[in-house]
Amino acid sequence: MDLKTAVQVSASGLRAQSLRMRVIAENLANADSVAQTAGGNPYRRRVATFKAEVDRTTGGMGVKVKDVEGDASAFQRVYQPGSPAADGKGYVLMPNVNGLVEAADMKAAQRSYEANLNAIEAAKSLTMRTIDLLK
Amino acid sequence: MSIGALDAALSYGRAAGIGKSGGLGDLGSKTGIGGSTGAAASGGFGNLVEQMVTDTASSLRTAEAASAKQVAGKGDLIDVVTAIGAAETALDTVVAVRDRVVGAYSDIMRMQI
Repeated sequence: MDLKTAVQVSASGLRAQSLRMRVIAENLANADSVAQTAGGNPYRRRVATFKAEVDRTTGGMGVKVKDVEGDASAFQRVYQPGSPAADGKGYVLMPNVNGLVEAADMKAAQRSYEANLNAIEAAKSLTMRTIDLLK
Repeated sequence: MSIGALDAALSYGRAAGIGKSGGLGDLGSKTGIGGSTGAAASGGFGNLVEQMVTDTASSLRTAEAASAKQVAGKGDLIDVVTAIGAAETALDTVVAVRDRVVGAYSDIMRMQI
């Protein structure tokens, strides 16, 4: 039944968005994670990318996390000569995580998750109403 | 629930087989059983209900397994929710169909001969 497939597709959306939330949480948690060695690279911000994928069993076009890739933007250089991660000149590379960008991304993931929840609710209510025709 | 519903369905299937010329016979003949009145498991509606009960039981079992996994901390919450939703839908459908079949059976029982 197509409504059942709709629920499965929305469930794939829930899974994808929850993974996106996880990646955002990792970015926020590592906003200050500097390099392990002096002069090395700090934590690189990661981004989840999605792709459409047909589910073989149901035939619905669900969403799947294609990859979690590193953000290629430049690190910020901060002068902190006392830090163990500082290079020869006293500069420390900070992660390319921007709190505002992460907050906006998190809001988008949250809204998308809610949209999928609403779609599941609608499909379920339609199914129940159809069954109620028998009663 | 199962025995009463299956009995009713079986009788209803036999009745459908006897009155083959009507719409009920058409339903029965779809599975190729409408005409026969002998074998116990050959009622069209009986098979239908039996199939539904089996399907429902298997989806309930899936939901139970998913819940048990979740409680043990190994499962996926989304899997649990979708499995329970599917099981609920299947159970509601089978109960609604059962009610209709039992209702039809009672109607036949009350029929003036």
